[in-house]
Amino acid sequence: MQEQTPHILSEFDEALQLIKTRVINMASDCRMHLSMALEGLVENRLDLCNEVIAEDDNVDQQELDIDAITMEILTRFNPVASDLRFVISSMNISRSLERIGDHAVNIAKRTRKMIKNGATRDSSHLNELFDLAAEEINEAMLAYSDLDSERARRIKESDQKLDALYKKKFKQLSAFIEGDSEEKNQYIQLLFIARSLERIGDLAVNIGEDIVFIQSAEDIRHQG
Amino acid sequence: MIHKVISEENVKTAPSAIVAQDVDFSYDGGKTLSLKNISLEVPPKKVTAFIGPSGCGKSTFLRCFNRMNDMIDGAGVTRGSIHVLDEEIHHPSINVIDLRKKVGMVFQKSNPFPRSISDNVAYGLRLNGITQKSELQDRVEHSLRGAALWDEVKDRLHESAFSLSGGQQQRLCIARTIAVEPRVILMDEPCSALDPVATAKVENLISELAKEYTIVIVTHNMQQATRVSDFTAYFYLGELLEHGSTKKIFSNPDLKQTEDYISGRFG
Repeated sequence: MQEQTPHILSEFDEALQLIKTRVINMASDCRMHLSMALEGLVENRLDLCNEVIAEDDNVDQQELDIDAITMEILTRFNPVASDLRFVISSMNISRSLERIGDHAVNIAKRTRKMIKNGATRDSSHLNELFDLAAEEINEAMLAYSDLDSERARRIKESDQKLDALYKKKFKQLSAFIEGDSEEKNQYIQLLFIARSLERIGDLAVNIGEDIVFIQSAEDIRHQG
Repeated sequence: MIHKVISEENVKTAPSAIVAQDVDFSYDGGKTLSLKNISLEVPPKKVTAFIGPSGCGKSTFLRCFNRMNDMIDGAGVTRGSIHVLDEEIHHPSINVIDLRKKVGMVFQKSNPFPRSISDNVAYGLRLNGITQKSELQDRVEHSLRGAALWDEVKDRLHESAFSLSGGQQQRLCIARTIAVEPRVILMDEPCSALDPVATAKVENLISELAKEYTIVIVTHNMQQATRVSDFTAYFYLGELLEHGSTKKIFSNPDLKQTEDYISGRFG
């Protein structure tokens, strides 16, 4: 990216840095919650699931805080051009992160239900999906941190792999549901978890689109 | 915003109200250039904003359009041409008084004459030979309405112009300018001495006036440029660095220097 000249008002630079730090912290929390939810599933740990669910209020609060900082920046500094794109897109990114956090909670709740019902869990079906979704979030946050639009553009390509894998897993898991198996309920839950992972990938793509907009003013949403 | 986007498309087919080509300007008979090689077209019935740091030449360039700089010894365009309404304004056949009738000007500080509100507006009309009272009254009212001032002054037309507030005085000056029916209005930081309410009224007026007049405004207020103008030109050290639609300049300018200036960065 092009080197940015500092603002004459140093407070403006500090406010922009603050919003960036907050978004990165929020992303880090959401990423951790996703890992904890999956670990809860794999390791059969209720405590991790409960923690993810309890921590969601914190994620919601982070989104509200970022909104408040954004409002203050818009009011005090009247940003234009790349500053305005950065501020608005950072707010959009926090919105996507909050929804990623919600999906981590969904995964934790479904896992908790399975653990409470004492169902057998065969989470190996989801390992690869999880790895791809987590990698997309990692890439999105690296791209945001460095404002690297090329890295951000590549997320869309990665997501196509995730989508293809999700379709495959959907068929496999659906096949387990069709029978009158005792494990039917477990596979329904796994199917929903797979769906959450696929949606997380879509949200990472949205974040990537926001980063491209920050860097190039190009709106690449809804381009297939 | 939508009407501005549509207007931009219309503009492409309309002939420009002002065409400046390769203009150099000097205050000292050509020893040093205050404007260098400026080429710019100002579309008709649109608002074009000139922005840039102090001393960049934007006011100098604005004052070229009605040859206001002629009043300064040694100052003048040393190269290039400026056409206003299809006439080269430096041509010997051009009558400067007539040019200034067509190209009115509103200054940074309101400058009403020490006369009544009505007489301020009628001043230029009388100079143009209009003496019939009913016609003068009609045109004073028409101009004050055009400057969004009529409702505030209609019952005190014979009071001194100095009894008006700063914002009202500035709108009176705009009424005085439009009374002689110019085609172009030049505004040199018209709101810099006004409070936010008076500024909003003048800005609102600028948008209304743009339906009838070509407006060029010099402003240091970036938000004002985004609010009132259709096109923006960025000047720096006597050069025109970037010119385009206001939407483009303030959302994604081509030059880093433009972006640094509009976003308040060290240049």
